Amino acid sequence: MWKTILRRILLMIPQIIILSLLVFFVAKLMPGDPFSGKINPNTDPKTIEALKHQLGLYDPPLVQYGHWVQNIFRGDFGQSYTYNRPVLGLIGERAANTFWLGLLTAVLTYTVAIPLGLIAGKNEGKWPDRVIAFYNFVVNSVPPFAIYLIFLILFSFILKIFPSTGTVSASAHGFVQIFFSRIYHMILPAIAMMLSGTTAIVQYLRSGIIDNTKEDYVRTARAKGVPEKVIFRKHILRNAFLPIASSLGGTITGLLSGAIVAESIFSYPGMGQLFLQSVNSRDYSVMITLTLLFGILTLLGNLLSDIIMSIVDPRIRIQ
Amino acid sequence: MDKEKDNVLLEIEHLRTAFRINGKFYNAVDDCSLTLRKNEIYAIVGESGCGKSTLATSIVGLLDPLNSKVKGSIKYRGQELVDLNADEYDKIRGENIGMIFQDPLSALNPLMRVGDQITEALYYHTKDSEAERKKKALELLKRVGIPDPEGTFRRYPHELSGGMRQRIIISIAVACSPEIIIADEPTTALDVTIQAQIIDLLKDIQKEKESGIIFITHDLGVVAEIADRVGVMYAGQLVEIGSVFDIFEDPKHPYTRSLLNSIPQAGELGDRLHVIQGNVPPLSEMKRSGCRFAPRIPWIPASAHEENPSYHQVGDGHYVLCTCYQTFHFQEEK
Repeated sequence: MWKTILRRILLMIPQIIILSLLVFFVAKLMPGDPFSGKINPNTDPKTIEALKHQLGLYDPPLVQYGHWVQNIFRGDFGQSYTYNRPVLGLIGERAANTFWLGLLTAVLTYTVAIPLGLIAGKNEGKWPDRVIAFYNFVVNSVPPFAIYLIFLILFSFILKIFPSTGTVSASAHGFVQIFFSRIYHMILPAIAMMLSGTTAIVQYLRSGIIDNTKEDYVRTARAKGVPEKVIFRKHILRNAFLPIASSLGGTITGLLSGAIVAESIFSYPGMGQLFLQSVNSRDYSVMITLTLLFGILTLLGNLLSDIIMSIVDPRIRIQ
Repeated sequence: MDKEKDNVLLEIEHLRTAFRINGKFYNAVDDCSLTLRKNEIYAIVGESGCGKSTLATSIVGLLDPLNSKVKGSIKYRGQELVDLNADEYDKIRGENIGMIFQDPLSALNPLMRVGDQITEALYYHTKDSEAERKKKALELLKRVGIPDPEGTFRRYPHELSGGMRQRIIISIAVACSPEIIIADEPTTALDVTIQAQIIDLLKDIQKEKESGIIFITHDLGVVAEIADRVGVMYAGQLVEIGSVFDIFEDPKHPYTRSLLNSIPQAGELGDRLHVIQGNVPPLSEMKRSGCRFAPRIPWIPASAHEENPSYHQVGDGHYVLCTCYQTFHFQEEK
């Protein structure tokens, strides 16, 4: 198994190289440059041209790519034009914020979705199932960004229960205060992101329970005289959790793409917000590094999915 | 008399099992009575949809209680099973009545090791320790002809062939040495060579444990090979009951005759295959009075059928439903 995992990781290298090429050239193809709209229009065009030359923006793309790769191997992911500081430190800071937000969202998602799925599956067609189906229907029909906006307006601006920006209040001191202040800042975006994350899990679990209850091996277990409660736990539930286990790795991707919008709307300084800003301001090195990072995380998420599947489902063995 | 009573394992009387279709209940098994004795293999034959499997599932109480109703009486050694609640049934299922299912590919839990699925049956019916359960399971695997019991114990179902899996299912069904085994088309999903092996295995186990088997099948070849007594089922009713000799050598009911006629014979190469006209009517459209087979033998005059068909004894332990059997042989195949 370890050999397989190592091989899969090695196989990711060519994928990452192709991804980096794509990302780099697509970024360069975008109209505009780091100075568009950002610089005093009265500046002497010659100065701007000189700056562009200095930054290497007129070099042939392949040469630029070469420089970029060379620098990466030296641990230099470039400078952020907007923030005027090394990309690595900037992303590192933001990554921690996104990590904690993602973790909280994931924990919330599973703690809400699993009981809902269980209740719906066990009460197929009865009122608890219908209520949950209605919840799923509503949450699924409202686009996530709209949910974020509604939450922001309702809870931050109208009810003023939660802060609308930032990760921690300036007045917090000491570990405990900072810890709670951080959670307080994260909770609104986390709940908003959680909502759209739950629907698929609820649906998987619900139909998993309903389908597995009708399976022949459940009938076999009944014919053995196994009590119904044990059948549910040992035979039905375990099998119903399979699709959820396999989607675990995919949640990384889901959380990242959710973070891009959510962090921007909730002004939460994480990678997602940084990514959108970098695209808007043509902050190439930030944008490219982040895209590459998201790509690598997605690949790792897929690998993680496969590993989890091979652990929980004996029929699947990665080789 | 007492000995006779001792021999009776299962007594089914006037069993009616109904399913809910669009809010109405329809009998899939309609007034079936049969007696299963020790050391006896009782085969139930009939076309698809005639109620064979429903009969089997009713006996072990595995029908969905919301959408089905069981009426009449099913007595296991004098104990009424129809009124049992789920917990009480759990004690009988597996311990006194074992069940073998049709499709060995789906009847085992894909996520559980084979060994655990066998010991699970023992766990709920014996006081054995884990080591004893494992020992018993290994013996069972050996008994059902699994070549490598130790290795197979740790395997998952998908690592085994269909025949092997059916052997595992048999070992689960007989794990607690039940007196009654209900086999619902146990060989249908297997290829012919494996079928023969499984049938031999079932016969051996039946002899060894002196159990009674209710063997559900649509395959008359299998019936001839395995059964002592045969019940021919049509549209939820047993239309003819008799020993395997009665049924094959002296079939009375037109349905039984048609079924036997439908078996292709080796000498008839090139001839048209015999088919029984029409189909088993769907539950909701089945007529509930008179002879139910009448619409499929239209050449027999209505006067030949009874209004309320009853059983007629035509030999020792040989019964036929409806009087139409008397006229049938004159007009066969017109």
